[in-house]
Amino acid sequence: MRGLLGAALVTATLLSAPAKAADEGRLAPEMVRLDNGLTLVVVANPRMPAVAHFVFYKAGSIDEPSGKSGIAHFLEHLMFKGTPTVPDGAYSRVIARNGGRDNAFTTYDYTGYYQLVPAEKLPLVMEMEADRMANLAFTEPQLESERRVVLEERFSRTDNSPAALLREQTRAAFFLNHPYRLPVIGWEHEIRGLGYADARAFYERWYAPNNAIVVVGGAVTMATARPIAERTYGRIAARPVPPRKVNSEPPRVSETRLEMTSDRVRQPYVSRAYMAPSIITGETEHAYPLEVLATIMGSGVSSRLNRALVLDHSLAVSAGAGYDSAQIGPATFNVFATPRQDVPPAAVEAALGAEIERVRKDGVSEAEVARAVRRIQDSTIYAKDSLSGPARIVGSTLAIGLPVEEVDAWPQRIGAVDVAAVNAAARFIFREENAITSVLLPKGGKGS
Amino acid sequence: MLRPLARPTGAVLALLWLAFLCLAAAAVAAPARAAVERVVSPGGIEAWLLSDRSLPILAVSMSFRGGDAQDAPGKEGTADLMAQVMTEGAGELDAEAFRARLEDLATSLSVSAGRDSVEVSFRTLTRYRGDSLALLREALAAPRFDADAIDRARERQLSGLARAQTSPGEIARDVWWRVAFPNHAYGRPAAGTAASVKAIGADDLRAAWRAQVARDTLKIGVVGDIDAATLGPLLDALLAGVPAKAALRPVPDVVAAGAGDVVVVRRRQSQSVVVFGAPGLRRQDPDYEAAHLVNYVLGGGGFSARLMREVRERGGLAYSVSTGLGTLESTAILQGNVATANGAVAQSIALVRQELGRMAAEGPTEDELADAKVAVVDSFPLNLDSTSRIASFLVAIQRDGLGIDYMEKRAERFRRVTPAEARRVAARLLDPTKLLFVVVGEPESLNPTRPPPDPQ
Repeated sequence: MRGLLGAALVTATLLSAPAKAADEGRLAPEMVRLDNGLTLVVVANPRMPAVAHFVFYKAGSIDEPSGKSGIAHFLEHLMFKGTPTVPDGAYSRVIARNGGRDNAFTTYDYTGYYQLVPAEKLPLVMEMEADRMANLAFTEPQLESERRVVLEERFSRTDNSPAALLREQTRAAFFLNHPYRLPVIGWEHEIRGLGYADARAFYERWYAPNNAIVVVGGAVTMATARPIAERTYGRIAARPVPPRKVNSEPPRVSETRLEMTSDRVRQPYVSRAYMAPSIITGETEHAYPLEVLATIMGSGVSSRLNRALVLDHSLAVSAGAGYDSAQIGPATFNVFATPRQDVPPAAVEAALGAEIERVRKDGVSEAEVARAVRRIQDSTIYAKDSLSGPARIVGSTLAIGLPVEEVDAWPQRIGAVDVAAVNAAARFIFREENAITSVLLPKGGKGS
Repeated sequence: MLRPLARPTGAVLALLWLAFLCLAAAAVAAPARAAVERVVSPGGIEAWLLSDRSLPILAVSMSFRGGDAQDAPGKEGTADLMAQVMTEGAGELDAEAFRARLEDLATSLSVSAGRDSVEVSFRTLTRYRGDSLALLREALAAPRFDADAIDRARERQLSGLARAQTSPGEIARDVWWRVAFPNHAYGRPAAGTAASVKAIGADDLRAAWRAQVARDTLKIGVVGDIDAATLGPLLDALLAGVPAKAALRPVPDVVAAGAGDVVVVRRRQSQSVVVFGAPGLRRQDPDYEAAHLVNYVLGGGGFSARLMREVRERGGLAYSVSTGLGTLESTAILQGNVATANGAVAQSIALVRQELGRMAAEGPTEDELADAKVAVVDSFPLNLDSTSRIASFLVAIQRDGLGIDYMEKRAERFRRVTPAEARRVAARLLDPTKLLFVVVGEPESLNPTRPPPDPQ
């Protein structure tokens, strides 16, 4: 019954689709560097009279001194505690009063702050963001009160969820040396020990204009944004920023397995991660092929894992795979499944292993690669259908150290992946000693 | 991050305003104001359309009356399963073929059940429009309800229920609804229980689909790369196989109960999760705009709200605290939540009661009211940044009966609220003695007024 509605409509042939997708999805960012070293990028997208204004600092939890886990995120909270001209708590209120909204995020690799505002408010948010880049003023009592907020955030996100606790423990067990082993929010006992001097030192070390990337997306042009950036951010003097530590992993010699049993669990969960190169670290030539492999194995109904575990053998209610190449350090290639209630998790774990082994030994097909490539390319068009999305994509690309051209090169890079490259990447990462398996089990449940 | 990122969640569509929205072709230097059109197909089907040719994307949102409140007692979860299985095989295509086809067409299609509605969300690229709309048509008019697809959906639902039993937030919400709406459809478990989900068969799903997916309750919003002349005939083709009339059970009007009660579900965890609520005020109420502004100042305005200031910033008691107004077909509520250390639950509850009482007695200050107006009016278009969001907004304003000129009138409706009016509506809406609190955790020095309901 397909195509009944399509008769009168234009449907492009599949052959011409990828090239068209690449073109339509282009974000076309424009980049300049101010005299003080600050990077300014504009991603024009004049669909609505608003802008998304982001600042990314090239500092994240991987840049924390040892014993100070959570300080990057703690500082992110303290950035809302005011400056000599903006009182404590007023930051978000001023943004709201001007018809905007704001928030911030901390990741392993970078920290970001953003405001979404009507386009004519860009000078205001640049002024305020530049102000706290240079003049942050928080006090000990504010820090003590905010410590309780951060702890409550940790309890909400992590401690109240057995699955999140297991994820945290899994990373800690998997990365032998890289700071990716530490939770971004910090270990509870270390959050309790963070002090004024720690937050201040992190701020002074990393929050310099020459370590910042400002991205403005939406109804804006470089001609408008640049002069505003120059008279706000441009006034802040550059200062030396230390090179970021380069961390690397030693060779792994043994497969790792983690099993967590809890009376707070009713639904078991099985996952396995393989250490993998990222776009920056390790054998980077495998990065794009691994993106394609993740789609083939774990995205969609006809993916290898869904077909094997969910459709054909009725072992799991869901199964998938994930890989994100956009990391400074090593990446992980993950496969995961939620067992059906009547199936022992061990059977699901075995089936995941069998699918990995099948891909490693027999490889994937040319048809699978072609389909995955086209799906990934098609999806890039949707990135523009958002106010903040394009700015965030551009900012995070630059923040991990990639050139800005890589943003729009993505569809071509994916298009260049062939079946030989996917199979070589699969053989490279799917090694026993390269894996960690983690299993979440209910107390009294069926383990392996 | 080179790939499209997940969009931030949490937009409350009922809060949106479209007059500010200026979608325009990327080539146009000064964006022109876009207008929502009422499109009526040759066959008489109505849709509200915002045409935007700047991206090759088309989004369609649909809403039918029905949903969880229609589930038969003992078969709770029927609407959820029915909605899921509608996209698991239709017409000549089985589940795998149907979903693989959607994926090949870069199209997302989801059907989900709300408490009072069945919601359809569809998004595609212009170049796949014909083929992908044909799939939507099949999902609406000819879902297969194959046994294997039902089995998978049932297992997913059971898995979700098992997970929800271990999530403090889910437990708290579930208990709140059960205590607030005893002997009413809203008090029954919306997603079902293990027993009720296992009792649902193919006939139940087929019957629910026949009863609920019908043209007489349907609201449609269309946004993106299409014009009115093209859309009209497409609507007829799209809905040709959908029956004209729904067959819904009546859901009686109800008011939230449990005034003054504190229910504690004891569970070992470092932090307690608290859900609280009371009767609210409907979207169609003439006082709604004033109530919305009052709620913004009290707990709806994020970091601008009094509760956030008292509980998080001054007290350091919680990561977040918020309140919101919700309208269903048969009731209206004011609901809020806070997650806080076990030792601070009593203090947080006292602060919530105190701030609610203070707002009821004094209303917002003139400055607070003025700030709330700017925030509510000017920040509105930020929620409408994607074709899909605008499409579901167009459906929401139809559902709420606000009229196609609502977008032009919205700003004025908020701006004209006077401080005296805000005070009167605050007193009408807010009463700390009406609040029902549900706490999940190990709260200290807090006396429950009644035991929790038996686990389901």
